[in-house]
Amino acid sequence: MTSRPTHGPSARGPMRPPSRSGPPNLALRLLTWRLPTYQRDTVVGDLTEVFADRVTARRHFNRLWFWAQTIGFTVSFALTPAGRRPSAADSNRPLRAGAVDTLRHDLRDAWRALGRSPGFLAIAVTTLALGIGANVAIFSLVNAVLLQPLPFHQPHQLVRVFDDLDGAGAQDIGMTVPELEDLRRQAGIFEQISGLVPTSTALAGGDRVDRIELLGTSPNYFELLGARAALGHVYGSADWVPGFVDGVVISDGLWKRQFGGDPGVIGRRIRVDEDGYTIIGVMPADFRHPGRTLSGDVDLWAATGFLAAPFPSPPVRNARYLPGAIARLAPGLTLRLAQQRLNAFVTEWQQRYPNDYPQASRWSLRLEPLQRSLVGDVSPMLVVLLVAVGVVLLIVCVNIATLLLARSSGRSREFAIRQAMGASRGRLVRQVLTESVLISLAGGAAALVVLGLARRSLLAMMPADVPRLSEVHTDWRVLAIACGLALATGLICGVTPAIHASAHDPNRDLKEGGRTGSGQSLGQSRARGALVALEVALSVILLTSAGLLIRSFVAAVQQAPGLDPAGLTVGQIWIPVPNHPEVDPYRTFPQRAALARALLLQLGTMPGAVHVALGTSDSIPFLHGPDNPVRFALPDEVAADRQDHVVAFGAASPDYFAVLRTPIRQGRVFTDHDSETAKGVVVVNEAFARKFSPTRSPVGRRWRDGAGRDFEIIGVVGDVRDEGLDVPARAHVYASIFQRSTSSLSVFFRAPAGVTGLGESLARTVHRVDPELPVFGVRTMDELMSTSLARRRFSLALMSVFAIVALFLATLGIYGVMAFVVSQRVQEFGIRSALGARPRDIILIALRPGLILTGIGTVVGLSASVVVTRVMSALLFVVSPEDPLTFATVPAVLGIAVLAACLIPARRATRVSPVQALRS
Amino acid sequence: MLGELEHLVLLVIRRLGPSAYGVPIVDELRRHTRRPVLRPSVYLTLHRLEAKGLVRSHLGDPEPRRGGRARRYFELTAAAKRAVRESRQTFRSLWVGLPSDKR
Repeated sequence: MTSRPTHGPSARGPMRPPSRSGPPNLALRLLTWRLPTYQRDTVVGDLTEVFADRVTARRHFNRLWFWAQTIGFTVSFALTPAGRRPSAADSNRPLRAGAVDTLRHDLRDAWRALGRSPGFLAIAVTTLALGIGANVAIFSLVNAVLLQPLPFHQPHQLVRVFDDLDGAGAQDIGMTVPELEDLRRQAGIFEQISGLVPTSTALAGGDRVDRIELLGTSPNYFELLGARAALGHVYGSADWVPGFVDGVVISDGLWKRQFGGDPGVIGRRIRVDEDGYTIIGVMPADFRHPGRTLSGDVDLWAATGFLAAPFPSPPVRNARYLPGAIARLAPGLTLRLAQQRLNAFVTEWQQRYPNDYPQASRWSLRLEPLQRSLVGDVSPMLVVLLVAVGVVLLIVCVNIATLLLARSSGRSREFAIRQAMGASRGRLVRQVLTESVLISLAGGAAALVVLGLARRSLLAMMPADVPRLSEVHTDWRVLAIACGLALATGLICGVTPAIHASAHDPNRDLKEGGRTGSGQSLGQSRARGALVALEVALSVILLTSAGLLIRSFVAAVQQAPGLDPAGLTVGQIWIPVPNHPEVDPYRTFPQRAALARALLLQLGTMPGAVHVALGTSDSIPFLHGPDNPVRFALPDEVAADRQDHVVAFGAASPDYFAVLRTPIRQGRVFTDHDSETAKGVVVVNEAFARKFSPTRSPVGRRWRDGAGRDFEIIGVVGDVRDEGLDVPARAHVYASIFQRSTSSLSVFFRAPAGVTGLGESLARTVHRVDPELPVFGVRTMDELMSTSLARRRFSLALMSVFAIVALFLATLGIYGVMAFVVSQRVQEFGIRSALGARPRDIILIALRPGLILTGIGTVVGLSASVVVTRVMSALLFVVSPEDPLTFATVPAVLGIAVLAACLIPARRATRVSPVQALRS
Repeated sequence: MLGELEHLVLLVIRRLGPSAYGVPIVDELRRHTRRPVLRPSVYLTLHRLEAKGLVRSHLGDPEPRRGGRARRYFELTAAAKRAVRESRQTFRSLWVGLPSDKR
């Protein structure tokens, strides 16, 4: 009988309440759920009994013990086909498993096989995590920016309306108020249309005046977008008045920044540019105006009919006060049909108002889907990055495939034994594929975790002017892509090794493997070579692309900006424009000229500033805002040439060109005598001279502005690349700030290096003239110029990282192949050196296969690059897609890296001792 | 041929006689071997032995101490007794002539 009385049926010791002394309920439930029926009661009963014994014996950690047992049983029973009740027939029947059992077997085998080589597993999972992670990151960017529809009601019906003057070669010149009114009344094209006037304003009410961004819209703006307020309500077309509507809507950002997120903000009065408004609504945090803004997000939305002050009343047909307009197409109307109807409208209006729309200027209205107009100029960059990151993943795949191939050749004995034991080819293929898919799924999971953690810092690295960044998040598409990529990667990685694993001849492998321990067949080493050559080719493509981007970037940086940015600082001043002209202290040009003089006088005494000039905000180079082109005519032109010309326009104080160090080419620049009472004068740049006065010097010619006022051209200055270093300079006309000032001023000054607090002292100095003027946007010219290259720098940085990763992986791949080849040929090298070969000869022999692979890969890669780099011509600057320098440098760089990778195993070959080699 | 653990389990069942069920089998194994004995692998071995027709099992009565569950008692089949006897003979004949390891 039993030797241990404790196993008797009677319970000993005091009984405790079952909830305290019994085994953990959850573990019991887990066991009952997971164990096969036949075993369930026995195992659970035995465990419960031992648990009770342990409790009685006052042993410790009993519940922990029970949990450990539970996990042990659950796992080992999950991995064993012990679920079925054994029958006598079973013992003699060969094991035949169902599909689920096979999968479980494959998973278990794969798990064990991978667990045996943790180093390989770590490398593979890390590279895959890199590859998949980079792809998922770029895809989630593309997804948010390009693929997701705009977050508005029926977004495909939303369009932007552009006014073009094709005759003057000018696009997006802004809309006039009568055009907006006509389009609003015109049936059959738009369901709704709203004008857009982004503007700086001064928000008063805090301890000092703040500059905020206001968007003037038609009252139907929110109805058009189908947007609602998060708090309060928005204005609607029922609120229409000729001038500004009293109720305004603020952004979530302004609400939190300025009003501390106070829910009682609704109904509050605010003062904007001397005008009183009532806050009626706060927009949700994720609502963004779908269009270009001056700088950053819109803070305040105000509705207006555009028909009363500050807009001229009655409206003027040739004054383009509205920088833009958005519209919702009439229901059921396609873009093409709408454009056709719009063209008919344009033709009719040209006939009706021949003076306002002269034939030669070829006025037209153009529709563009709102989404494309918002993201159109970043899509080439994103597409190129997406392709590049895809190539990186391919390289990663190829790399893992070569690793797996090397592994599978080391495991040829295992496969041979399996095959000899009756495993089918399909089973072996499945086993290898299961391994590679497991690895890549692990890589994908790791990538998602890392991305989730690094999301914020990655987004912060993005150039700020890329639209819709706030919409980047992980949605089902991103997850689906991650899973799909991981699965596809696993299959692609695994397919070559799988085929090779299954193509073993068990007879040969068992013998060979037994003798040398590593039986790589000829076919396998060929496959590995081909994979490595492919890897080289792919990395050549990436290196070429990165090289072209680097060359473009260098070319852009080397462009003469037309000014000297060293020590140059810029600030902006907003002069409030009240809706009622009577209360505007700076309404007329003489009033503004006086302000400019006062400012110049005070700024001259500003501590730290050496050399000061004033301008309008249009004269700040490299500041991206809406274009504000001005129409003009040259009265002395022969009638046939006489067209509506368009040019960039800004005003500047006499010292402007001296402070910027822009060279004077002809004539003179402004002096203090070019005042509001003197004759009107303008200075033009060289681009203007080239375009509009190619045959003779423009100095002395007359220049007539859109309002018909005449100015004399007194000088020509050098071009400033103010649209960005990589954009050719536009034709530009400068007026004297005393004659043509605007409500948006800029201050330029040079300060010695190391002077800090310039923004503060600038604001103090300006407020001594008028405390109601907000000062904002104080930046150095270097910052402005660098911002204008932000996108180029971003794509360059990413592409370089991709290229370096590619180069590294390709080098690693070649190293792997070479090391293997050398180890296979140890005997040969031993014999050669025994027969008198010098180390140099052996190195050359050992290097050959690596160099041949690299050569093939480079040739293939370069030819492919010629085709591929065309795709990215939109990102190139000055450099041609077939830039010879890049195409020569890439093979050289690659060659050096590969040589280094090959030399290590090749040198090992020279150190083979002949005796040892022959003995082994 | 019997696996090592299979062999051990068969011998333990034989030693325990009619009271051979999971708990004492594991205890007995632990008492006689120096290596760690994992409970799940013992149960899997029992299962395998039953599938091979080397042990038979029957259920006892439900017991409150086991949460109302019955014990499963194991006994050797004729084939198992034969197999154990044969392996004992094999070991014995292999030891003949070898110096006994006293150390």
